[in-house]
Amino acid sequence: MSGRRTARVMNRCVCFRGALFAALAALFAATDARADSSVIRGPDLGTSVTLFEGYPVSSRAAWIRPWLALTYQQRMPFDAFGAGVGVRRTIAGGPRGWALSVQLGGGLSFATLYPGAVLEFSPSTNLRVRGDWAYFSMGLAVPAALRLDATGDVRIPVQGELWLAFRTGPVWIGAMAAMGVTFVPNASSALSLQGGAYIAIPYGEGRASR
Amino acid sequence: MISVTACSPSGPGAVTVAPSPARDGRDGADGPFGASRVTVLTQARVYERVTIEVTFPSDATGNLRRDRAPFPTVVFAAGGLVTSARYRWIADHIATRGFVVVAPDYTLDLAIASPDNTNAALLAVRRAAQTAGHTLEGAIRSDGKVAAMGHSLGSVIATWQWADYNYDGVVLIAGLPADGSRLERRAGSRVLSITGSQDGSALLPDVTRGFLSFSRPRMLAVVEGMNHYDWTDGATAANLARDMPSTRPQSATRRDGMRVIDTYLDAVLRGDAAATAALDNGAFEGVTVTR
Repeated sequence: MSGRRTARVMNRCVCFRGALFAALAALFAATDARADSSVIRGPDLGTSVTLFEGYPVSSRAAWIRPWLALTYQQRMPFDAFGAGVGVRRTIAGGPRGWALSVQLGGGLSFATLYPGAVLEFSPSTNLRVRGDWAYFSMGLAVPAALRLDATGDVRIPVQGELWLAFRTGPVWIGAMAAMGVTFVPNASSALSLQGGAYIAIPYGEGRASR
Repeated sequence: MISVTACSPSGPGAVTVAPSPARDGRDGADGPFGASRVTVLTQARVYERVTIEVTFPSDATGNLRRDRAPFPTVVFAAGGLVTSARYRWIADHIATRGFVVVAPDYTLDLAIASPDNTNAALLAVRRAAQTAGHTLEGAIRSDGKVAAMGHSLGSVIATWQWADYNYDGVVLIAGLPADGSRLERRAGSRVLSITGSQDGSALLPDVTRGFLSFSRPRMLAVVEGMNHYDWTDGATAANLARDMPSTRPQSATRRDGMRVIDTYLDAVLRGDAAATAALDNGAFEGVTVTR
């Protein structure tokens, strides 16, 4: 009897995890994303998956370690897409309350309108505060990009960012807005705007420590 | 900055004005060519999309008049919070007179937010003109003459592009250069500043002050009775609330204004001697001129 109950519980658990994994995989694969893995600058929830849908860039991150993410990013509607990695480190404070952290994203994208490879490099820092139910951060990001062809075209945006999120059950739902200036060597600078909404879903250790 | 042709339309453009040999393009009227439009996509600042409306001299079926190409180019910068579509009447008119008009879009419809979309658009169209089978194949030369033209805030951008990229001419429509524009780099390049006497947005004293910051040869043309949004189609109530009332019919003021602009383009982009003489010494009906 005890064995049957244990089996039922285990089956339920396997079913739940399977369904959760399938749902996450479907979200990750099906939603259109857009290049700059801005998603790595969202809330630090340990191991987690974050889906960021925004303009002009959407991105996805799977934090397979609390400090290491695999990312996918796409520039809308489908002007560039690519993948990369992100790392983050808290340099002051802790997971709750105030903290100062830095992130570094890097990746390779492919521009589709004029086919070519683009190398991306996104250092950032933010000051954040996280409670049980709410998260807020303000930061500075430099999501730079370089075309790996004869043009050697470079863009160096410098933008201020605000991130906000609220916890709903096991997930965090939030929004971000960023504004700044894109510097281009030998050309006029341009306005840099970015925004979007996101959902962050802790799993494994991240879920246990939320 | 790179500018690359992404979308490569190969068919005819959309005909916006049918050709008519009976039109001579004089006195502010349309020219004999038809005008057709095509959209070209390009990428600026590594991978930012820029959508460009290109209006070109065509035949009745929307095909480029390659028998008369290549044509000089006019790059147009729209005013703040105004789309390029609202200046199609200008693009159509200029195209019927044998010019290719390149009008890019801008972030938030503010040319100041992405000023280099203007030059990126020019480079994209030059590339398209070198692409076999493209609708615009042969339309312009890569080293062909170019004038920048802008309305209102677009005048600031047009002036920057003219100064920074050595365009052959610049037309400021109801606008003025921003402080710090490197005008001295283009000393001796002919400038046209044109506005309306009823402009309630770019006030005449300001436009005049901006005009005086250019070196000669230069012309300030003030169209009698024309207001700021007579230069655009589809003026909204909010637009007009910031403007002064026109005192003459729009068809008349537009024609008077285009007569001056046509003369300028003929002089600067075609090297027409009579047009040059008119700019230097002539009088224009319905227009007060200062040099």
